[in-house]
Amino acid sequence: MTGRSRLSLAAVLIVFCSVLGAFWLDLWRPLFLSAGLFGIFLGLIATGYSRSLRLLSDAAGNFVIWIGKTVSWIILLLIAMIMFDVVTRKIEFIKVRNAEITETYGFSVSFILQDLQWHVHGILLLMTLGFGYMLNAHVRVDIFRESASRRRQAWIESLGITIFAIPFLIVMIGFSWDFFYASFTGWEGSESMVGLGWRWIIKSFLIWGFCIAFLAAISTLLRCLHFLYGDEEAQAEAEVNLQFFTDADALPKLILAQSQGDNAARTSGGR
Amino acid sequence: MEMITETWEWFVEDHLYDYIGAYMFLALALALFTGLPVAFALGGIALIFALLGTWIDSISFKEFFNAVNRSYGGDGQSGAIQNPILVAIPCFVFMGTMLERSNVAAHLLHILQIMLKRVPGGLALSVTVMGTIMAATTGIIGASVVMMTLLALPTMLRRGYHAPLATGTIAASATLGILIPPSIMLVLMANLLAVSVGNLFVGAILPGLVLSGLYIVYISTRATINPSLAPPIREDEIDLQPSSLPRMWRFLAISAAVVGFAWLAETREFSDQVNWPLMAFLGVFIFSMVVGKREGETLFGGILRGFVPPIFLIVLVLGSIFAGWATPTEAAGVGAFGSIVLAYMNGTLTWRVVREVCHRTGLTTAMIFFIFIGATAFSSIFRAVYGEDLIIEFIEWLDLGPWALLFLLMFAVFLLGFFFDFLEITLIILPVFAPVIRAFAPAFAGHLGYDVSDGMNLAERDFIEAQVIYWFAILVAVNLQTSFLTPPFGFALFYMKGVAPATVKMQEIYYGIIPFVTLQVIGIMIVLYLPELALWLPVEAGLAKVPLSLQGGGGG
Repeated sequence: MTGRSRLSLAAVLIVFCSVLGAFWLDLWRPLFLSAGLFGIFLGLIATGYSRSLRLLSDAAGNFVIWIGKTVSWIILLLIAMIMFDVVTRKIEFIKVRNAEITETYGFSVSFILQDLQWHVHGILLLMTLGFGYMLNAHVRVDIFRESASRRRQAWIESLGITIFAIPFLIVMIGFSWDFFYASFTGWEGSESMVGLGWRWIIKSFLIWGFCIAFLAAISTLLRCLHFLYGDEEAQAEAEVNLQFFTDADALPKLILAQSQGDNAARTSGGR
Repeated sequence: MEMITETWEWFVEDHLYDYIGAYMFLALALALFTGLPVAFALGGIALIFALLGTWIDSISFKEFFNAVNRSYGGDGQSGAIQNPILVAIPCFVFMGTMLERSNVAAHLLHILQIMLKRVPGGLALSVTVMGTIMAATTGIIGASVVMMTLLALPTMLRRGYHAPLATGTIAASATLGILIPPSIMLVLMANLLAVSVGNLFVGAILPGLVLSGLYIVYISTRATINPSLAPPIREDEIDLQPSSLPRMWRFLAISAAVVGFAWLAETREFSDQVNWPLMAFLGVFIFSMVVGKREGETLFGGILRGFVPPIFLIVLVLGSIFAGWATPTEAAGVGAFGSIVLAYMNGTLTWRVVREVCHRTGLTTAMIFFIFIGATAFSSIFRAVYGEDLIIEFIEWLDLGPWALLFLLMFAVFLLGFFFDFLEITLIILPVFAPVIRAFAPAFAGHLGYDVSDGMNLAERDFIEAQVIYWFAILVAVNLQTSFLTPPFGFALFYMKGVAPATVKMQEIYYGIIPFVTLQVIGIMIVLYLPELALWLPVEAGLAKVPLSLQGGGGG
């Protein structure tokens, strides 16, 4: 049990230092904020008050995956729009009617479709960022990580999330908000005048996308910490849910788990 | 004590202030090798060095806003979101995944084997042909190597192929996909280098074909000399009946008639509202589908159902770009739609396949663009702390000639290819190297076959720069492909080992790849020595406009 209490002490120290640092060196606040979060999580898990955190990490993880899977379907819409645009631009009477629409209402169907295409593309790529992380689709350089034990891999991952991912995503969310806000208050429209207006809508997806990636990072961080320091049940559950272990199976990047249940079977079989 | 303070002050105020860019690169290298997702490493290092730069008063933290602005696409056409060009990427990913998941790729391989049964090394050749046609679109090298290995290696080993020959063929053919269009890497490269995607696609066709030609010659030579290395398909493995010749002739005659009519209609201008070549193309395609369905389980029917559709799809995608009917984005969308049609005709378009393909497309798109966003953040800050100037200063200090410089850059790309996939290299390294090559472009004008000894005007300079960039991009593509295959690193080989049957040893994979790496080096030499190989076709297709003053002796 001394290990537990030493761990809790370390967590309290981390939180204390990051609060101090956040006031003292206010420039580095994003990093201290993320370190503080790490400390709070570590402390709660080390002292055993982690039931709600487990619920949180599962809820966040499942939500991110659900969003990603749902938004993935939008690619079909994108293909349909491109096909529609390509086909109708070649047909004479539709071209004539489109020209009439432009003259009467002041917008061009073809321009709107082309604007919509990159809107849809933007939504697809932003809303799946976290999904990709949850299912370990992001590229890694695995040369040195491969030979490390699972515990060490979880350690690297949780430190990496704390030092790199969370501060980066916090700052990106902040600046995306500024970016969105400028567009919204300025009521930014289409550059071509006849295309799609309301640019703030697609710009707001920057915020959503980074927020969802942030949730994915938090969920993974919690699972890593549970795997490292949680009680036995939490450890086993986290080990099943974490996707990034190099020895989990030979094709982590290729297999798309259909459901959480599928995952459990696959990962525990691979151990 | 005083000395320590002094050293610290010197370090922070002089040294760090001047060389923060170099430290940034070093920190990135360390962060990448921890095995974290590359996007996180890029973004985190960008943030930490933005803070550090603010702390030593080198930059303002507001610079980080550029990471958002440029990821979105604020400055013109180079961002990830407001960018009509990059819309092609999810479409190409969808197309590749759909062809793979709906077994169109597997059928193609099967029918190719049967078609090439009399040729020595027929199966290995089919793998090369399939890599040329298909592997282009899976997104990352790892994925396409794994796909081709799972598809072809068990069959090859069962038939008694020499293991090194089999693994070498598969690894080399699968990585060929990054060079041969439609390729995601070329879309990204064109976007970063601010050149036309269509032009780069068309330029990459000939070098890609030269490479696959070299493979084919090598494989058939080895198989002819020693047939036991590559035994032919057994008769009992062929599940198709021989087909009747008259039916084949009838099909060919009708197709020829359709094409002939379209040619007549095009030249005599029956109606300028109709795109006759496209109509003929689609007509022959639909006709071959109908005949293929009715033909049943004969060889001819198998060819019409398994071989013709993917070829048609690729020709449609590339041809419409080549002929200027469609932008690359439109071609990609049409290609993705075509892949759905092919899956439907293959009878494998189930709800489950569509769902899986959509999800995998989402994952791959996220993977590509998270790195894009991270790399944008990194390069914004790297530029803000004068990292690029540092590199240019370093290159000037080296004081190399244009050729030595080109070889140096190529060597650097080759080394990086040992560890990183093309995404990282394209997105991080190319934006740094491109300005250097651009600055040295006039020095290569003579080599490209343009006489500029009497000075250049602005239009000529732009043209020469663009041509040199195209040439450079294709050189980098071939170079990267080689690098992915080169032992002892060559991570394409590691992916292959991961999914190969346990009987295949790593030594065999290493041993098998050596001849192909040699062929690759020959390929690089050819593209270096004959830049026309990459530049002639776009000029011929009218995609690259040669300034009038250069048209006389130029173009080779």
